[in-house]
Amino acid sequence: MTKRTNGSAKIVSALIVASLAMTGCQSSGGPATNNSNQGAAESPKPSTSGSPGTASTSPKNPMPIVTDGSVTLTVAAPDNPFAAASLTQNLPVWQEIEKATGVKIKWDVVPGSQFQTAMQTRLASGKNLPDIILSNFDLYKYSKDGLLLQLDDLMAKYGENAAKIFETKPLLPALMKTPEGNTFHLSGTRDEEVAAGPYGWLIRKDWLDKLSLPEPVTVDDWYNVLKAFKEKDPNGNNKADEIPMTNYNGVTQLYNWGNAWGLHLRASDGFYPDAKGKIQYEWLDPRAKEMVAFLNKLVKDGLLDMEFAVNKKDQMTSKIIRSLSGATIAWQESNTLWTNKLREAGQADAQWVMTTPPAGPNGYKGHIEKSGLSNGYSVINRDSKNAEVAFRWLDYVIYSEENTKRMTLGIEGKTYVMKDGQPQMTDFVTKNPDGLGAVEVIRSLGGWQTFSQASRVEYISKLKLTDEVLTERAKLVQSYLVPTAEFAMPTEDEYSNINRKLTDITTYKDEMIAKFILGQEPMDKWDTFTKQIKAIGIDEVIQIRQSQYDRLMSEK
Amino acid sequence: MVHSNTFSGKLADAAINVFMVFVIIICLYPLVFVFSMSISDPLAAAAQEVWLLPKGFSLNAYKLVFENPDIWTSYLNTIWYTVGGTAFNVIMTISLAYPLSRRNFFLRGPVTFLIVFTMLFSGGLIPTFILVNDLGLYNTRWALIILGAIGVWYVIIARTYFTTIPESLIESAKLDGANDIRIFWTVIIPLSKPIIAVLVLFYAVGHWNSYFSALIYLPDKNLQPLQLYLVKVLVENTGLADSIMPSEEKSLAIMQIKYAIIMVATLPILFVYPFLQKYFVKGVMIGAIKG
Amino acid sequence: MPNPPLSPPIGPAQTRRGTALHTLKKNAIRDKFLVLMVMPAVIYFIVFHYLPMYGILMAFQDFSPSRGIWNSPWVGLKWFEEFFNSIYSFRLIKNVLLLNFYSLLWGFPIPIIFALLLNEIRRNTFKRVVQTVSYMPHFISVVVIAGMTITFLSPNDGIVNVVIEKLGFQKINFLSEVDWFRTIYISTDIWAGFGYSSILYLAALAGIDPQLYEAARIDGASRFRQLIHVTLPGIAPTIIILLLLSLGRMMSVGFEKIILLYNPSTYEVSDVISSYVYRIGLVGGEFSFAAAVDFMNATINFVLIVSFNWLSRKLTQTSLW
Repeated sequence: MTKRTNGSAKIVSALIVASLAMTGCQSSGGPATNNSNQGAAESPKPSTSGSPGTASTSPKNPMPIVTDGSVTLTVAAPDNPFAAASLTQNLPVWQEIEKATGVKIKWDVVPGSQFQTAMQTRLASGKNLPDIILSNFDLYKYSKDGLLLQLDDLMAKYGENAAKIFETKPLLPALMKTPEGNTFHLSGTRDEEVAAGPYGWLIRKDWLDKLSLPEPVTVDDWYNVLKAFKEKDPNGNNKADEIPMTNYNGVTQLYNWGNAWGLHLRASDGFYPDAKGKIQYEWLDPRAKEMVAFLNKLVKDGLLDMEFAVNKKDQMTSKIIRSLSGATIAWQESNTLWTNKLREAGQADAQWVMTTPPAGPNGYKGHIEKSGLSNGYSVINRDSKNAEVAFRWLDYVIYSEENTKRMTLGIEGKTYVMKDGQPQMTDFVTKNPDGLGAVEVIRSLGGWQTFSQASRVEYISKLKLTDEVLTERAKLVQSYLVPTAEFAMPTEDEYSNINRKLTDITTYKDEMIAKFILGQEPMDKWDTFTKQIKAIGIDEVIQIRQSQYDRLMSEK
Repeated sequence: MVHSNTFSGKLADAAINVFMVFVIIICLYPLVFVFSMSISDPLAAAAQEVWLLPKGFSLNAYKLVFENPDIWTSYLNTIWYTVGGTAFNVIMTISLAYPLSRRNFFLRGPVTFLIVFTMLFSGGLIPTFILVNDLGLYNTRWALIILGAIGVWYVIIARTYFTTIPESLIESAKLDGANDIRIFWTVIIPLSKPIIAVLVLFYAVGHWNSYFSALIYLPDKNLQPLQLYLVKVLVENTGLADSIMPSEEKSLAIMQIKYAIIMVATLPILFVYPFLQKYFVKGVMIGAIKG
Repeated sequence: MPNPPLSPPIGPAQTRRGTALHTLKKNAIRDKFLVLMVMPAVIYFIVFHYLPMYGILMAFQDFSPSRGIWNSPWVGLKWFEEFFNSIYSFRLIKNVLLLNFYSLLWGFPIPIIFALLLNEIRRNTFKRVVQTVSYMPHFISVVVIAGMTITFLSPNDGIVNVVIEKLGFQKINFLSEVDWFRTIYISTDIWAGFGYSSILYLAALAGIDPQLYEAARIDGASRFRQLIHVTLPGIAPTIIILLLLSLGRMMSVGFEKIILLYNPSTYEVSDVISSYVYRIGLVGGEFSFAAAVDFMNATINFVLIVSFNWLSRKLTQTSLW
């Protein structure tokens, strides 16, 4: 008996010790939260801090930041997506960054797909936080909670490179503000990526030529071309095995077809302001029904891969390399790989090209949605001992022209050379001995990572437009590019309201659209579909989106 | 078990053999497929023209795998965690399972309930993470060994096995004056080779395949196991991660790398089983009753 | 019953009536070495499993990382309400339960049957080869298994559809049809796991005293009768215990394989709680919501395991505790 009491007494005391430890670490969190509130009170006009007008003639953020190598920053980031080389291996691009900034980096990396899980755990427990987190997920919850350093003052003092970017992209600093008007994270930009190496409709030019067809312009043209692909044996194997158009990433990728009807269903997820600045949910628009009916017809007539909902990139690539499919929607740079591989496999004439986005039946000329403007969430730990250095480092790494060039083009002399003042990619990139693609080569050296980067179109195009066809085609679609809808960060209430409702709406919408297209639900059920979306509560979501949108416009 | 001279007995034998050949085919297939994909010409692999045997030949994917200087360190780490972790697991597990198998052990019910309860309810990742930090285990090898010291499931399995050992053996050893620990070592362990082999196998495979704890508790590259590398390659290739990295087109070599890394990461552990198999033969209990 | 341990043990402590306290003390002294043996494990469970259990409180809070669990505001059952406010909550629960029910129905007996058949193989080398090969699919990553499944079942030129077409039937768009999802999910699970699971039964089989077979043979029992009267009773405790443990997982489905194999057209049967939470989680760190869902699942699992354990103790004398 005595034994037992002892045992449980030990347990109880262990619990007490543990809870003391917990409260201990909590109390250290308490005053800091207050601090960040005070910070907010002290800087009542944060929106002026980043404005370009304050830039003085002397550089605010000169390099190197430190000369004696005395500062080491711990940087957490999703690891290099090029799996064979980890950022921890002191890759060449980062050696150069260390040289330029004078700041040593201690990497703390997690595989990209698991980064959110690992970082959230560490943030939520408040333990072992690095100086800087280069995140690929939204850190809103933590900025609100005061684990992150407020950046407005540092921005005013040192944000030289950032200010230059904000001059050309005034929406960007507005997107980085909390509803209270404070800044806790830095984002790069990504919209230029689409301008430089577009995402859109790709087609086998040699198949068109073989069948004496012009490049399709309208959705009706597309129907006819795909029908010809199916019936006239363009791959020449005397078998009707063609799957005229394929895709990847499932049904949501097909939403791009809405572009022909003037809808913005993919990158903007259907939430788009009309001419008067009123946010619409475009899935409720009758044009969305027309689009779905069109896709349904494609599947019914065997013109669109009936596996469209299942396909992943591997399945798409397989169909393309086997010369089964002659059209898809993807990034333009895929063309190079596909064309080369088809030629290697014996199809000497093979030629994939990007074509203009389809025009709608109602006279709309079609468009391509850019990616969202902001990219990544780079933050500084509130308790970092080197907060100023960390900020200056971020300003340089994310926004400076010198470093965006390095992150995109790699190392001068190795991956590019300067010719007549213009960078030019070397054979090491364009004809890589290991058979790597251009982006992969840059990644193997540490560049072109998934975290914040203010990409510049002039450099991306050097990397992505490696031959004349690509260059010419990229030019062709420039006039079709439209921005995605952007929304200010939600308030806490907006956030929790929208999150769950939107998950239900998206679940229902994707499920029904997939079934409409597959023909598992008849098109005359469309009214039931829109009614149900309203019943789940789309109006409330639209309202929240509207206020987010209005806030952003007023910030700008 | 020697009665198969009858016609129906022979028929049954034949049927079983045919069925087992079928089992061999369907179970061997995935491994052969992965192997063939890993050494085929990248073009054939990407075109998914490889069904069974390799088409063409290329070691490019393996070259990419072994170009990574971290791979040998992580290999050694994996072996360390597997050997050290398994030894610790097995000792902890059987020394818990045996007392719980004793029907008249007065804590049997409460302790079993106590541990099964943890199978169902857990405080989640965050408090565990805080605990690991407070105990100073964060970023040490011990985090991986100690955190998963005992699998409840395996305790229950082992306990179930121990209950099939005749009680009379224990009683007679008791009459000879042996205490419970002594009985455990001299009577129970020798009769428990099959279950110990199972525990070794399951724990070892578990350690070999696990990556999640390392992901959370081991930021230091020099401590990380091989599976983290595998996770990086596999998941980044599935499209699960597409949303966070747009505009990326993979070259064929990179598409093939996942098959090579599976071969590299899997082959060693596959050879553990054949070594343990001999403990699954019947006869452990021969003459046990006589003691 | 040939198994001696199933007979009720008669210890001196149980035969004599005394005060509870007195009995306890006597037991503790009698079992002191057993107590010593379980102590390290009990400490482990208390430290690494029970101490962190305060995390469950998150399910009833609006957990905020910087305030921590002890200072976050209480919200009562808000997250549970939110889960049940979703139009999909019952569909998600139904899908989890049905997927696990069918998994159990088909997946549970197969390793047992396989182990019994393996036990009947006379030639030792062949037996070992089958044994080794059967456990190999367990090591092929679920990502690759899913990829192979998609390729095989492709309605365009997957081998299964090629055969179906040759036989004169209509091709089936397997992964886009609601009717097929569970079959595909469960059969690939069985394929990848039956050999590995059968190892437990093989160990149990190895533990059966050969003298029992000897005795049965002397009684003139046929091979089949030996199976029924010696082999099955020998592994029955293992079967029952594993069944109970499986019932304690009825509300749990990992999301990884689901996400690799499902798509919106099959959500009706394939969307489960974990995949739904995963989709919500893509938007932000919903710790409290996730904790609430976990707690709900654990509670249902707990109720199931406790009731079936009780039932099993009544019916078979085998139980977890």
